[in-house]
Amino acid sequence: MHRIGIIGTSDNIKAFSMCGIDAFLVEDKSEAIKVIDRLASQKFAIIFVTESIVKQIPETILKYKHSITPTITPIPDQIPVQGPSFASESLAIDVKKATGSDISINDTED
Amino acid sequence: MAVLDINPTRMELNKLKDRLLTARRGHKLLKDKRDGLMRKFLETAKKAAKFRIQIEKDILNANLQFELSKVNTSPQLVNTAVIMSRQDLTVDISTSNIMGVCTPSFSINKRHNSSENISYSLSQNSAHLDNSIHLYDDIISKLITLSELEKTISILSDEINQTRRKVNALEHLIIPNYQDTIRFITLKLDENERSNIARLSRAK
Repeated sequence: MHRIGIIGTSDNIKAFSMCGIDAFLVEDKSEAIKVIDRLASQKFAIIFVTESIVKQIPETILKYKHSITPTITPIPDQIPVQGPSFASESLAIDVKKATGSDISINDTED
Repeated sequence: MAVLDINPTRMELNKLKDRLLTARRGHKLLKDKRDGLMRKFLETAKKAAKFRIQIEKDILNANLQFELSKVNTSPQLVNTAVIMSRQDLTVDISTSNIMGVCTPSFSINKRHNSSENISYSLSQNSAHLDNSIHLYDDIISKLITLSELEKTISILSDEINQTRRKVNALEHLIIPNYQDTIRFITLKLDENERSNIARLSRAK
């Protein structure tokens, strides 16, 4: 029995708590890191973090990247940020690491 | 040409031959593992990329509905509704095994479904809230699947990287070294044999 958490800066993450997800509102990145570390020690299985925060704390994301719990998943902000998202970038990095070449997964889609 | 630092004796030669066999077998197995992992990885990566595009659209849509629900209703009422319709949700983690690599799979446990029994005042809240609850419910199960896929990808990519290095080390370093050393010892032993014969025939 593991819980799910969501971390975000906007009030909108409250909507997720309707579905039984624990919402944590954070102000800045140091607070976000603290919350993530706390949730990780509390056996949270999945933590959703909004893109704008994820982009500021790549080290913390990397720390939990290869352990099964917690799984940190970036989700889009209320107002989508411009440019490539962290999620697509991290996918590209993983693909590059695995295949050794920079192939775009999206282009090969039919 | 790199010859290992060992004595050129028959015993060492036999040992090395055994090790060469093991290394070759290991190389073949690891290569198969790498290929298998790679196939699974690309499959998962494609799926996750597609899934993410779709889910990001869904989240934006749900956020929009939730925002709309706040337009006609006071924020306090919406907050109350959100707290009222809170449901219990937990996930169970089991691991599945892909070529000896443990990857997580999550399964959702819901105590009761908030989209089916609405527990806030229908007269005071807008229909957009009902909509958004349905949408978020849908999104959560998709997001959990997405998390599973993305975690699988990051674990697999690490494992593929490691396996590839092992394969390369065996192929380009360890196996050639063994081969060279075996050749060196064979030549040395032959040389000893010949010099022994020459010495004996001279003594005669």
